[in-house]
Amino acid sequence: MAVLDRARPDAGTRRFLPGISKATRDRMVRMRFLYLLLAVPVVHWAIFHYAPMYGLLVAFKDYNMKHGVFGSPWNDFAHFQFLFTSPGFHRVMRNTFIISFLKLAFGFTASIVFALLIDQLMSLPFKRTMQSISYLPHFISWVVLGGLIKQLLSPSLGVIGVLIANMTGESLSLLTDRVGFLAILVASSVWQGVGWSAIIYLAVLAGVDQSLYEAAEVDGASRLQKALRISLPALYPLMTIILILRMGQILDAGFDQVFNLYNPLVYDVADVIDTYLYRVGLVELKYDYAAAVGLFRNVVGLVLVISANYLARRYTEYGLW
Amino acid sequence: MARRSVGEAAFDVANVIFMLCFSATIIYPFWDALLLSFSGPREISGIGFRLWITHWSTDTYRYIFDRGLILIAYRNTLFRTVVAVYLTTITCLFAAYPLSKRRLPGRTAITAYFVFSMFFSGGLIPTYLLIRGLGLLNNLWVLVLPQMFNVFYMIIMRNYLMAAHLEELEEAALVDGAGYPYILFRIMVPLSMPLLATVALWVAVAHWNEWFYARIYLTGNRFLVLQYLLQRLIEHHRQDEQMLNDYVAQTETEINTANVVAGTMILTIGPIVLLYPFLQKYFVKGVMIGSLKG
Repeated sequence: MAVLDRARPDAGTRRFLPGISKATRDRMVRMRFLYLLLAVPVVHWAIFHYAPMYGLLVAFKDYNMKHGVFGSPWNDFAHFQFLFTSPGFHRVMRNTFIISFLKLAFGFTASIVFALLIDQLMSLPFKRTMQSISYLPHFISWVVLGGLIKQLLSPSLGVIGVLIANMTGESLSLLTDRVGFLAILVASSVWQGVGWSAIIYLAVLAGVDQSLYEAAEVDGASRLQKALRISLPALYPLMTIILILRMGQILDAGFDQVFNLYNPLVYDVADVIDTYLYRVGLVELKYDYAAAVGLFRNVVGLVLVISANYLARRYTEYGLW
Repeated sequence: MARRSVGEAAFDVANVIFMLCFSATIIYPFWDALLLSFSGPREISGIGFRLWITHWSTDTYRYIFDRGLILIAYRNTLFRTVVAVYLTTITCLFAAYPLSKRRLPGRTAITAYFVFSMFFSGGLIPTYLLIRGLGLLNNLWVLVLPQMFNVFYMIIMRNYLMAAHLEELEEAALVDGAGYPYILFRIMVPLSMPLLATVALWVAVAHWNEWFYARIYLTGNRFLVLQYLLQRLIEHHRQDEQMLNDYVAQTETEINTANVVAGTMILTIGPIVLLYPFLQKYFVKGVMIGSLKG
């Protein structure tokens, strides 16, 4: 192998790569095995990631199967005109923002409070156990979590459902009520994510200089004061980054969760852009219109991510790139 | 720690109680499903709160396994998980190793080629049209091939391989006349085993839990995966589905649908819960690796 890989002068490459210095060309020849490896993911990515971008053309066309993506006629942005004027789409955008903001506001606060509370626990084994238990829902799919939630809310056999049925006298799941649905959605999102998202805060807290706490103790600070004046401020930089970067993903209201919990009775408040996209595109089979919805979502998403990253770079030391 | 004041002691007690209640909310739903899956039809009644049941029965599981669909779903889930673990880890390594070389000509451009797609993609419908065009609909490989490469895993691997001690080792090996294949497979892979194992576990859990692609790309009972079988079963409460009639239709008389759902849930999460102590340790380690950016 070693012999095979030794650099050898290769006249052939000069023909294919003009304008590249000889030293670089030699390096490329020497590293040809590395390009061979790279070919696998590069080709894969071209097929499964870049090729679909060609399919985005259907967003501007009246797509029909017989003519294919290329042959279908253009339609002067009719899908986009419909999109911006249809009340259904406005509802979907509104729901997406509301659900995302509620989940972000509650989830973000909860994970910081949870991290501070875990940090205050005295016994290390207890702390470890509580953390391990708190991660569990992170490893379980929303199909199962949704099933468990429906089971708990079932008016005939779940503990919460039976309780509510006894109080109200109605035997309907909370998930069929508009306010009830939103409450369950936000609560279950916090419940599922709080332990996992606290990990990174706890890592920061573990790195706080212990002498700060000792100095505060000498000055007679209470535990509460130490938590609020030392621990919490230590989290500020990370909180800023996470908050900004999450804003960039605001269009992602959590497809898996919503899809596995919603039902036609609450579409009015539950239908978000991704569930709408799925139903219009793959259930009603309006490929062209759904592609337009998807394109709109991706472009707005891209703008949001870029702005969020710009803000993160500007106000903190970090960014996605 | 200094002596605690009354207020602080009260806080500690409240904190411990809060933590215990919170973990109870996590464990109870799973425990409830487990009990439900082992209850006979007569057991379901009362206030809906169960800590224990008196009549244990395996009828639900006997019923589920009699129908056979669960075995198909297990086979398909295992297939996709095992194949994806190998293919994804290897494909990511094939990109990560070359891109960890600072002196590789074209490195920046190729990295940008991969990273750009994290922020913009064709989206659901164009991807669906492509998969249909490639003839991958109703082919089990559709669960593995399109997701074979993951930029996030690749970047984490690349950063790991760029560690100083590995670079020095590689330079020494190059001086000694070793080629890149030898360095990759004989030096880098063994030395980055902990990271490769972490990525492999991420892939495994993601594939075990994935249901959307099975739902949109595959039709028919022989392509069922566990999560999708469970999802259809839960949806069955709402709408009539021909496909699962065999699984549920007679349940109204013999066994409650709720028991069958609970049993299927337990079977679906079984392997994850059994491996959980081991899984969570690797995952937490992964969060730390992932948050150290290069």
